[in-house]
Amino acid sequence: MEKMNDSFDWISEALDSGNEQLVSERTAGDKRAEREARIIGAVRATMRQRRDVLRTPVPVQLERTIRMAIAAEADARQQPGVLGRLRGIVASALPRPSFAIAGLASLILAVASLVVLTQQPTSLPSNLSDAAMTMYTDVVASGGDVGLRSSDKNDLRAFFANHGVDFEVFFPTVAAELVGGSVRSINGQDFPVLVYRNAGHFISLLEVDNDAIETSVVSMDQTAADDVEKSKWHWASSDDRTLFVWQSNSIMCSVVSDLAVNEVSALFSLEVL
Amino acid sequence: MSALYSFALRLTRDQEDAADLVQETFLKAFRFFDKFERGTNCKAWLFRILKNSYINTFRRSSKAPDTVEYDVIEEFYETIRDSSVETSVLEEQVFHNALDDEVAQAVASLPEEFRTVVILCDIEGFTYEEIAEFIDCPIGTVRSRLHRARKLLAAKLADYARARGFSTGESE
Repeated sequence: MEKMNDSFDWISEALDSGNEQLVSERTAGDKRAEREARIIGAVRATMRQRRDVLRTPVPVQLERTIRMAIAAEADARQQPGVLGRLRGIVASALPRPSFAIAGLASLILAVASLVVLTQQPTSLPSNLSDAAMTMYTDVVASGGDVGLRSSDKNDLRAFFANHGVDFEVFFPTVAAELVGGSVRSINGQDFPVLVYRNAGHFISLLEVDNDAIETSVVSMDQTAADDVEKSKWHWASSDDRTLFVWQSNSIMCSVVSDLAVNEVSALFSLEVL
Repeated sequence: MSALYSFALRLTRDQEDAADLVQETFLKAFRFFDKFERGTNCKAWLFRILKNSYINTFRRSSKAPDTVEYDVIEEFYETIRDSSVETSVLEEQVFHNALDDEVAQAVASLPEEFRTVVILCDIEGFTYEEIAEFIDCPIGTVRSRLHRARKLLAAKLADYARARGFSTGESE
């Protein structure tokens, strides 16, 4: 597109900068340039005069839907006391046009900041590898405690959906017992964790959707990202722990266990190879 | 919210998709508050989220509008580039008398890349710098796309004027 070259591009910019004088001076005596300036000026004025017409009214239902969605998300974060009151403020602010953008956004941001602050103890690091390692440490420290102890995938799917996970959780084929699942937060967004056990060893699987990576909610080491892109999977060992990262459709999976590399790869071989 | 919805509607050309896009935008703003830099333009931040959401979600869906190949745009642009100037079709009066529906239709007919910049600049009043940030491209690209968008709009509005019997003859 940018190979198209138009010597009159500057006219638009000059008009948008309020520099009509410059346009007059530079186009004086050049009929083609003068006409171009008149055309651009007239179109620009036409558009600006009709701003209100060109802006489509917001459907009444949309504001209500957004309020409800935010309320549902706030509920999922399990902070009813403070959030309930703030939701009331949001609700009272929304119908007032003067609050439409700045007011609503500020209140949403205020709610979000409180959620972030109050959820700090359960948040994981934003780096995927670090998050997976931290999650595994927590799993081991709690003796395999999970948010929902169940090996039933349907129960777990419902659990994740009801606790703020907004994508379809992937259940890989693993040669280990599925203990259950938990939801952990990274940068305020909730992600599912599946916990497995094999011969007394815990295995945790943290799943992150691509959208979270694209929007930088979750970051990836360059090495890990390159490995996954070029080699399908990435692995690393640290403190007698093994980290495996691979991508399944739109989900980035990161597994951590104290099993040896070959043992973990064997458990997940169907998925990572 | 009106500006966001209007922009979403221009991008998606579908009321339902636009509503979904705006809702997604506010939910993301809620979720990713920590990404918002205090003291910066909140409206610009919301627009940026909306634009990114559109790229990530709606462009992939089957309901997304067809994208236009750059070569096609270029060819079309070149055909109107000189003719609209030399034939003296377009005068202030022609645009002034354009019907609201015609203006809206002309905007809707623009290729997405052009439609976006003209909406952000002329309807929403953002600066070139802000637009460049939203659509993630150099200011020079914003400048050239905006100028060409206005030229395409001029050609469209001239067509509508001719169809309504407006004189489109030489005026010089």
